[in-house]
Amino acid sequence: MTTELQTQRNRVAKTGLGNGLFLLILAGVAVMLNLVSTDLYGRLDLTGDHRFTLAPASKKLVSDLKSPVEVKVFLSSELPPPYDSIQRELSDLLSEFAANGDGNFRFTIVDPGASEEDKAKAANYGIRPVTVGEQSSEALSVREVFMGLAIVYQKPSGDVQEVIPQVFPGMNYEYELTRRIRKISSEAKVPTVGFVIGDGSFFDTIISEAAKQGGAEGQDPAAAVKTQLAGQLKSQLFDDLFSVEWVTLDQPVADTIDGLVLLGPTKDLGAAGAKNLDAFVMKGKGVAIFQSPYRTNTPDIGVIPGMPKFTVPEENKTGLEGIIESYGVTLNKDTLIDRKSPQVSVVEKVVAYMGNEPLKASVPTLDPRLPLMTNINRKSLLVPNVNLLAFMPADRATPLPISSLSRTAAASAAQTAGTLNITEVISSAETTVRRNNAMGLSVEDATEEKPDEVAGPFPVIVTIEGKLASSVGNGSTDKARLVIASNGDFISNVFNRNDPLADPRTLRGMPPALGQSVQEYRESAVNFLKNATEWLVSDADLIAIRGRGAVAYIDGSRLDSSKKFTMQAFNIVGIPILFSLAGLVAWQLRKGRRAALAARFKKAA
Amino acid sequence: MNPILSIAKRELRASFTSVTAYIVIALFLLIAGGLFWLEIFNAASTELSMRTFFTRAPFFLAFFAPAISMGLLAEEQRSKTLELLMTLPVTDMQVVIGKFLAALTLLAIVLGATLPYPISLASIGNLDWGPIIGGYVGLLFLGSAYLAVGVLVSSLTRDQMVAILVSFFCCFLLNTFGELASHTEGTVAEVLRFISTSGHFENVSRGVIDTRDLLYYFTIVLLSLSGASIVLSRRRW
Repeated sequence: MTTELQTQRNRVAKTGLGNGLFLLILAGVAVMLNLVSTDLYGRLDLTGDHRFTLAPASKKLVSDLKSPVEVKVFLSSELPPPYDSIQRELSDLLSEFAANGDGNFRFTIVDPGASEEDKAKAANYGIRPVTVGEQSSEALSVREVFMGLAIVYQKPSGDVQEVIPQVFPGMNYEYELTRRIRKISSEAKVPTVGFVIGDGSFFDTIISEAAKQGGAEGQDPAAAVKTQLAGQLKSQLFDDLFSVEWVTLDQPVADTIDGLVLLGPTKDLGAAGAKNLDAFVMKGKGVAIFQSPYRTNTPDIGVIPGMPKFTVPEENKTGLEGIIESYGVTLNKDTLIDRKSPQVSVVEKVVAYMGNEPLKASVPTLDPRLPLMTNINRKSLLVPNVNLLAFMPADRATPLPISSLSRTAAASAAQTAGTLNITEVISSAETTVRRNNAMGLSVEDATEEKPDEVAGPFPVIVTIEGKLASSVGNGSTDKARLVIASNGDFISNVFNRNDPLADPRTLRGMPPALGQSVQEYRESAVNFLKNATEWLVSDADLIAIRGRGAVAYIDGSRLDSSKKFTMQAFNIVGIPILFSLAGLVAWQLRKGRRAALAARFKKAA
Repeated sequence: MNPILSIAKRELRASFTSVTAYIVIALFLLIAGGLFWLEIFNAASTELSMRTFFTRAPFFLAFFAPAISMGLLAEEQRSKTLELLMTLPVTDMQVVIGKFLAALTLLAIVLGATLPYPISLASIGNLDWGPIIGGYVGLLFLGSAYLAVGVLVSSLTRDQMVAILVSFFCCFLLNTFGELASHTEGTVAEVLRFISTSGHFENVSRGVIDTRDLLYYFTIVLLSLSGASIVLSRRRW
């Protein structure tokens, strides 16, 4: 008996030991497999724009490298959330670059905190530590970390480098790397964008106002401000991807200019201007025209002491409308109104009286004359990172109507024939209506419905590509590339330091959500200008990468309060109620079955 | 029929005849749905995605998965039906896997009940389905890891309350290892970060199915279920 018990105990001990050993070996194998998988892995990118997979343009760029590129990442380890994802995301991306680089792409990730030598190397590249917050259970602390990288292109003639001093979560790493590698490794010249001046555009206003203030002795103030502004556009707006030059259309546009931007022209172009612009288009070069069919005018009524100047809206006859029409797009003289999802404008209102003197202030107002542009053509390369757009007026005292664009009959025929492609890039919301010839419409007038209104949406920004005949009978081109927008204010507002919507005091007066929207309009406007410019100078590959990972927003115009409520009610309460009802039915069925069984047993007994 | 499937089917049927399961599921849906849908329309321009849902879901799952798994083996042990189960021609591993699959199916049904969320969102904008699919796949993997841990803990006790509390503690710990890693340095931090379920889930919920993350979840499931199987086999000795 004792022997049997002993044998039993021995067997239990052996089995226990065997099982323990099995589990240990299994854990060891699993750990080994996990370690091996850090270098040997596969990924499936399910995102719509494959934002976590190297774009074809990036692959081609690194596979065509003539000299080695080395990326040196200076990244502190043990970064707190949300920075902790940077290392893996960067490492995965750089591994993909290296895999496509035919040995010409290398990268290293070092923690400069570990050695003084690495700290000095980072400093040599201009990468300085940045302060990040760290939340522990006791308190919020801050620490200095490195989150920068240097790209070194090792040309036979010497190293060329580009530096990103600080990366951050959500940054489009691929775009930032690709464009920098392209910039330092490409022998081609940087494209030049020409901004047209002398046409009464917003830039003319800036330049003339700066010139009035004067400059240093012996210096032409207008020239100085033009140089300064071009430098700012080049570095701050285009991140040194393009050169910027000022262009006047009274003479032929230089061949060095790759694309032209006309931002809110208000002066007549004249015959020479029209001819020069058309000649540029006929060369197959890109042009973006942001022009409203209306402009403001301050009439000269003579000098009456004490009488303030006032502005009135009038038709904006620059001659461009005729050129645009000949290319296939009509700049309609209409007003778009959206009563269901009006945006906020800042309207000058009398808020008090000082004696008999009215005291005016900029008051945020829901304005039906400011429709939200929610129909964004996601297939277009001009809008991947444009989420919300509203055409905010530049002149608060005399807000100009927001107008629509339409195709001409000839353009529609050419489109059907397949020779011309006019694409609606951005259109107003479905809730928009159109009213003809309503130039001086007030907020109150716009609030009232009229029988002649036509329901939207209506295009406000289009692109024209393909075969175009000259507007002045000077040949044709097969490679036309134009962006036409029915408004220029939404872009020029971004550069307007006096824009009330950019004023923190105005923003503070708004509900936070509206203030946030205003910031998003500005961000979208900047992104649109960048995209349009890149598109004009044919860098479609890069713009396609930049647009990846853009965040989509809820379309407010497709969501009224009743739909919102239905959606919330169904998803919050409806689904649990359905489950509870299913439970009740199951419980009743079970009860019924039990009762039936009990009855059967009773009967049998 | 395959013994594993038979056990899974029996277990699943048992789950759906209990009113408690419906109450727990309804509560989960009410809380998860409430937090997501009450917040999403607050701002004038909200990101059209389920990011906030997927950010909170791992925390809910750390509660919910133990609630599903608590009774799987503990209740069988308490009511002495486990011995009866052991007399059937099934191996311990088959019992464990069968019960785990039943729990996983139940979890999939609950997650499936939240599918109207992305469908509703798609009706008000251009929704990118990649991260949504990734998020649900991630939740299933994360849930399977938590359930496997729950099965292991359930095999160690007869008391369902003990099972749910210990499982929750383990799942919560697995979820917060990433946070703990930011308070330590060196290899310990690296190991903690790797063990943490949150980092792996974040990657999948971006819309990237990565073999490293799948292997990680598979490892947790394999080790936990093997452990549970060994615990059960001790009853035969």
